[in-house]
Amino acid sequence: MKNTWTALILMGCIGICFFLLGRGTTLSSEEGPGEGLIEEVIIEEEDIEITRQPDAVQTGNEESVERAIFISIPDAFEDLDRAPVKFYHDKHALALEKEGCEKCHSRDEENKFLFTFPKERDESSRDALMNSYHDGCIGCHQEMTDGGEKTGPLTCGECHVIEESYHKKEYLPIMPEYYEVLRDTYHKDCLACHQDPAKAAEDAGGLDWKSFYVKEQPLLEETWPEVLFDYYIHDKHDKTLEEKCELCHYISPKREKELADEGKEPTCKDWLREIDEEQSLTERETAHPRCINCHLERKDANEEKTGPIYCKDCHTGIERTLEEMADVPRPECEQEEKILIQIEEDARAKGVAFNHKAHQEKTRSCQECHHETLRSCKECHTLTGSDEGDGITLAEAYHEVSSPWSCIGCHETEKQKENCAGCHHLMESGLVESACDTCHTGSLDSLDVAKKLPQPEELFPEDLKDELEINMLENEYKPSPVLHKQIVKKLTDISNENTLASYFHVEETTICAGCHHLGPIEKNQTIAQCSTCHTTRKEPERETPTLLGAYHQQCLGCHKHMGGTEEEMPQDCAGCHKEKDLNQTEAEKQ
Amino acid sequence: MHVKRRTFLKQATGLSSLALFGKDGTTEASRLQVSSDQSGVLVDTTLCVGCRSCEKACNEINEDLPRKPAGSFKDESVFENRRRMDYGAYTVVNRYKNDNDLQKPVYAKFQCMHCLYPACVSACIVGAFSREANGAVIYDPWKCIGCRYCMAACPFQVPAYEFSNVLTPQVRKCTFCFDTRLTKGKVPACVQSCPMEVMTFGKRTDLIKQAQAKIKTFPDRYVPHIYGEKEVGGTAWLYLSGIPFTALDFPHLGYHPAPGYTEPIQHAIFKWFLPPLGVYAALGGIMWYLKNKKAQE
Repeated sequence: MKNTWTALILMGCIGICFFLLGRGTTLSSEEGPGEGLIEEVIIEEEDIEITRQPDAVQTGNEESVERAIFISIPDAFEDLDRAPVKFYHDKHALALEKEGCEKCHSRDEENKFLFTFPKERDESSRDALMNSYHDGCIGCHQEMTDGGEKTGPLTCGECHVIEESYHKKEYLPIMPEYYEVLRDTYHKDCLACHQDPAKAAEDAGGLDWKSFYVKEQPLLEETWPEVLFDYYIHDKHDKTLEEKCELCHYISPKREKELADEGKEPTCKDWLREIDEEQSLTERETAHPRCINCHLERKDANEEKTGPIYCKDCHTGIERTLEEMADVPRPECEQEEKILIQIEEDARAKGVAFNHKAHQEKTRSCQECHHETLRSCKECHTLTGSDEGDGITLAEAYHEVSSPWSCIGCHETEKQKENCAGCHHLMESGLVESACDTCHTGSLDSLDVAKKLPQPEELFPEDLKDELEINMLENEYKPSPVLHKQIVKKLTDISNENTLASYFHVEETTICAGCHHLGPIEKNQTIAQCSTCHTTRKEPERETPTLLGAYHQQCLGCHKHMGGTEEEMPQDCAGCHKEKDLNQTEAEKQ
Repeated sequence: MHVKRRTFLKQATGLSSLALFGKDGTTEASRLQVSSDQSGVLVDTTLCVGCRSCEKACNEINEDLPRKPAGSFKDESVFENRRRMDYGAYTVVNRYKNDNDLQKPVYAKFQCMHCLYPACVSACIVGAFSREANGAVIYDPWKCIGCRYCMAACPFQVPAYEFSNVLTPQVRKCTFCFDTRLTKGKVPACVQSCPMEVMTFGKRTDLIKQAQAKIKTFPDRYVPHIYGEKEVGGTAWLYLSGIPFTALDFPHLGYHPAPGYTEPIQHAIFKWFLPPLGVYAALGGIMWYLKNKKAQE
């Protein structure tokens, strides 16, 4: 009987559900306001679209460039009761230009600004901190309102603007670094890999599996981009400050003593990015007082050249390209131009000849290779790995394919850029055994042998095909032309102009292998036909694409990756396949 | 042997409750045999260029579908809207924004995923849907009564209904070219027609290996996930993508077969027809009671 009751209850539940569902739909269809609401929302959205457009055009306008600083301080406030305040610093700074920074920021013993807010900051408790912000902001606004001046808001909702997206919180598991690649949409959940996460965490050392989930910050858009202190900005400082490195950089007392003993001047290698033992210039708390105070002092002293004070002038988000920085001198660092990287005399592989100067020219700042310090790789990345080098061994630091810091990793990234990716996107990335010798030459002379590939007509004076046609889809389209000679010539030029390519494209016929991928072809060899391997019928057990697939993947894949113009490298069907005039062909047949 | 009334009742209750919810939690659909030989298709969305050849080939081979002129498949304006499969198309190609590179949009083709444990087969009360040994989930219009339970059950919202046809409407969904090509030893029309060879037809187990190898060889190109390998217990069509699958409108489904949730309830309600009998008995009892009461008065 129990079963019947269970089933009865189930049926009852389902019945109620249907009833409620049915009622819900009839309600909404009967009552006018429900539908009206939806319409209103749609109209509003359209309005926003229209009003936003002129805004986007006025990018030169100072106010539209201004980005918000979000006052949320997650460590202290954790869960916010209200949306974080979108604070526009430059708007305040410009309005209070006469009063100066003193209006909001206090000074330290040396009469330098501490760029903290508010002046009477009380961090003793959550409420105390909140109140000090409220006193700081609203106090000033109130004062100015009383004085009859134009000022900011006084009520809660005017500063804490309700925007839903700020309350969105994401929960992501903290995973070991090597699992980080798995963090795509489907791996946010422990259950994706672990059938029983609780047990897995327990096995990992008696952990609570829920502790693996951390609270991510609310999604705050629009904040200022990081300052990229590239060679250009460094050079500007260098010239204005007459190479007084100590104004920004710090030298460790130990090293200073050593240098004094030896009677030497400090070099680039000795200057650190820290300003003292603990604080680094890369942190906002350190960089702001250091930079802005200096800029302010120079401004007060009426110096000819002074630095920016407002947010938008440093945090420009501009990433200068290498071409733009071609004429910018790189810092002189007393580093030899060419060095042979050889850690041990009897190492299994020969030493690597390395041109430091050439690499300086291909980077935007020293940090692209040297991380936060300017020390050499082997000081932190030891042969067996040390804590200072995050346990990454020297061999890994040079060879790790997935890291943007390593030699190979950086070269891999270069290969996936326009001009290179056309051929390289189809090739397996990473270390190729046969390529070890290209770097490990054991002699500095190898740096001088950068080769220019011969022009195709020199290489194949007789049998280089000028132009050919592919007429696989001849029933539907006219034959597709392949400008063979032109393609080879263009690729040869690209390779010759690229320094990296001129070292690594060793064989004279390297370019040919981009399409004729069975390996570099030899001069008097007959080239294998595509259709020898790429058959017209797909063999289920073979992964080789059919002829149709191979042509399209090769041609269209290259066109898509090379970043050329549509005319030069068509990407739509009609670019290669001209429609056949069917009437005409029928007439021909007759 | 003497059995006490009490013991008998206990045993009976226990046994029938077991029968109600299935002895070991297995369901009809999950008991379907999934052989390792089963076919599948691997779709590498990073290769697709949005030429719509597959849509054209699909329309040509499936004569049930409304005819469309060949030229209409060259129209790229359709990409402005997100399309779904409907009664006129078993497959559609959509265009998506590529957050990694805004210049290069991503195209993806959709059709029935041909689940290993299909919810439509489980939900269909007349058995119009069936899953063939080679993996194709097919539909028999002669059995269909037009209840459209399949449309509600499908986790991918694939089956479409021919609302425009008043007298003989059909449910429409991709057939995996079962009658037209698969049984003749040919690959599905869309797979055959694709110029970029986005799709690979083969044994499902081989395709998974192939997909894993692709992810391993080109880790920068793919998100490390094969959609359909485990989703809703596995699907015959498998997808690779360069951008997160949610950006391609793929639903985030669990790894348990969809029928596993619906069948225990659906079947319990009609199990051995006991619950309905119970309802009728209760109603009859009430009627009898009321009648008696009236008679006494």
